[in-house]
Amino acid sequence: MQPNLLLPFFSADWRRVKAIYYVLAGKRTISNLSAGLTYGLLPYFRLFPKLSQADYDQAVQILIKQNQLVLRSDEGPQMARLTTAGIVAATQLTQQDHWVKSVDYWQLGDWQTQWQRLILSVQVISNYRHQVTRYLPAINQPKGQREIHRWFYQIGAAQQQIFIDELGAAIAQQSLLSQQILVNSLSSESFFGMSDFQIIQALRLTSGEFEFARIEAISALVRCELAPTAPQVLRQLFQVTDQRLSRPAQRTYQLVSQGKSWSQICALSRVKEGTLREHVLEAAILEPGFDFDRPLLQELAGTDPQGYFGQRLIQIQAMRMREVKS
Amino acid sequence: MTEASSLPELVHELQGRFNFDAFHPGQAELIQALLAGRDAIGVLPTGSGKSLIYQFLAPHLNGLFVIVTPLISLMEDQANRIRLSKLGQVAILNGQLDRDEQRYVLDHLSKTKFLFLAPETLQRAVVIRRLKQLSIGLLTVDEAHCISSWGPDFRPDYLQLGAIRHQLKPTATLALTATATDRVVQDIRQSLLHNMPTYLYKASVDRLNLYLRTEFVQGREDKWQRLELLLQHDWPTLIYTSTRQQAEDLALLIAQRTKRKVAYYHAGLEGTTRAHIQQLFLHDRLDTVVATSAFGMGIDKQNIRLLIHDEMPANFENYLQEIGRAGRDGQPALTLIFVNQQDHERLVNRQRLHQLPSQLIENFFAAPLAATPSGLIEEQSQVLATYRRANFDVQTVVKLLQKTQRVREDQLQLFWVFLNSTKCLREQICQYFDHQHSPEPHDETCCSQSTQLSLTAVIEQLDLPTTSVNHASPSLTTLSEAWSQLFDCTVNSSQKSV
Ligand SMILES: [Zn+2]
Repeated sequence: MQPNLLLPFFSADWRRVKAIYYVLAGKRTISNLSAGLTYGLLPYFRLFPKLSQADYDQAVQILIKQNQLVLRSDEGPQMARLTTAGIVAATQLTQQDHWVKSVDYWQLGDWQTQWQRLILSVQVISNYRHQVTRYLPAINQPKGQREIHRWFYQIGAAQQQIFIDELGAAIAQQSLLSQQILVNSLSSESFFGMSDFQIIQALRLTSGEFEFARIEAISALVRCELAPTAPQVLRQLFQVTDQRLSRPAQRTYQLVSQGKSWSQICALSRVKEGTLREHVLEAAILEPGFDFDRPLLQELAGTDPQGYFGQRLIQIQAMRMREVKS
Repeated sequence: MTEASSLPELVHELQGRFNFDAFHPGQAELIQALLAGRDAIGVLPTGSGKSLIYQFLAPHLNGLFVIVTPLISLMEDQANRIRLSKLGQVAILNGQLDRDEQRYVLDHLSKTKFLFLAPETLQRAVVIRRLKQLSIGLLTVDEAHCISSWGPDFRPDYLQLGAIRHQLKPTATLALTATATDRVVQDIRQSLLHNMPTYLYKASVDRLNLYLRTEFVQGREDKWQRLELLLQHDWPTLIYTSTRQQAEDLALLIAQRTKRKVAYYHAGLEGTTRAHIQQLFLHDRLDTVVATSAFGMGIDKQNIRLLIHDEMPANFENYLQEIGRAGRDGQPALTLIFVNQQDHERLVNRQRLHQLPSQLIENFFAAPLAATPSGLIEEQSQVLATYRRANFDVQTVVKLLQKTQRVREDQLQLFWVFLNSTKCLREQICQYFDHQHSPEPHDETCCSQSTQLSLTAVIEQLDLPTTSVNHASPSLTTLSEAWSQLFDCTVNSSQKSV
């Protein structure tokens, strides 16, 4: 990880160093998610699923050495905030073309999945149009391959043409940098594109900047193609299939939404009450239409022994209000 | 199961189904043995078409073909190759798949013909349970030398395969490896096949079209000068480095200082990126790849003319496997290894560093499952966790680790002696792997050491065929150009109404 690229995830206020890592790596716990919400970092959830804790820690250490970040040295979880120099550098960075302005895991899905869909769909259609039937698929994930093949067989010749025209038009609307990355990463048996390394050289980016620029490029494109005005063939290709909530939380939230009482919910679920409360909190953080005025929530807040649940809920509600306003 | 087939029948089928005229050495022999209901061990060099064996057998043996293979990148490459052949459903099962994917694969096993999985995945109770419900036509264990603690890549997970085989009761079992000494073959036979009668095919390791060269260098700059000399020639080139960082750094250096079209390749790259590099290299759009050992044999590049080891590997086995990727089209190729005292010392130190004091092993086994005892690096805890998963007791683990440590040290030492020797290199390799086989006598197309013959003289004498690559510095393609090549279409940027 190129250290300075982490700066914009910190701020002038103290933030938990580990929580930022967990958000970026996509570790879904209530504590990480609420930190993400509090810090305004939820859109960056799972931005770097492969980032190792060691690499992240090392990058943070370098930022401290460069006086862009300071640590608070008291007890408790490690906190850090930007120095004045860090704020300047972070601000400059977020104005660069390669900064990830468009990402949002919850709205646009996992960027890696979207990237794979783009690359494979273009390969499949380009080869099909050139009557090439034997070739190695550009992605190896079996689920991803199946998805694209199903999509490909669903769309007819007319839709194929719409795909080609509309995708081309959408890429043409992106920033020059995004266009260059998207176009040259594509490949089929009739177009080879360039290796990432060659693109990096040609664009004079560092490999870290390139990584960010690529995430930005695919995110901005997907944002375009998920808009209600986008043609169906592209909305289908990039549709976000993952649930916002984890499976168990989804189940609990469904029961809540159905208006079940707490004792009914407990009876219907096989997990501890504490875990069920966590599910409700997860929904409170992530569900767009979460109703904070539900009587059930007041009841829960009242019965929670340490008042932890009620307090958390109030915090989450406040954060989400702020989020809506901004 | 079908009757044993005669060789002419097999060749006839090969021509009809695969459009090949002849088998590679070993393929027909192993197919015949398996069709006759025997278990088999194949010691076949890289690129000798191992996957053809199971593709060929697919219509002959009923039931699922289970292929155990340790490296995920290899698994994906092989699976893709079989997908192309359209011989039946192909599935992959490994720890990198998310739960939904794994569940999907397990739920669709009855429709699957080829299942690739990692050895640790095969140990999971749910996987064994599902497999036991099916009939297994063929169990293939790839990289079977990993079963032997006398081999350099010993993996404790492999030790369970014998017992699992016993539970799955496959119609036939095939163990495959590219490099195995007699001792390793003996371990495979004992541990995997419980010393049952087994057919063994052992190909010679002698590849006559490969020129072997040891190049003594003093340090970085010295290395670079010789590299530069080699890279002036338009030979498709593969350079092996020992770390990801080295691969990246060297690729950068080559991009900055030469006109080569270069990329680096290692397991840390995205799957799409790796596939893209393979494709570009295969179509001669890249002429140099700097890679770690992750650049595997699944990559079907035939015309690599120059193969360089930027740093020495730790043993004969890895060296042989890696040089085997050169000249697969049968044309002459130059393989060159840089020999440097410091590189050797670094390797020795790395081995010492990885040595585990028995106290730490005991601590690990005494600690509760979730805890990570201090003093261990992640890699070491992983190794120990593998042993624990395989139900080893602590004393056995201590002994086994001491033994593998000693084996590794000996292997490194032997290889270092080889690199510094002045005898024919080919003859020594043949002696190490198959002492029965007497190699072709040394001549000027065989081998040399830099102390005997200059590099320039070697290059002149070999006169390797070149491959034309467009050296114009790579330029970015525009959207409209790309669209016309991809789809024969123009881009209309005005029609979008967002
Ligand atoms: Zn010789």
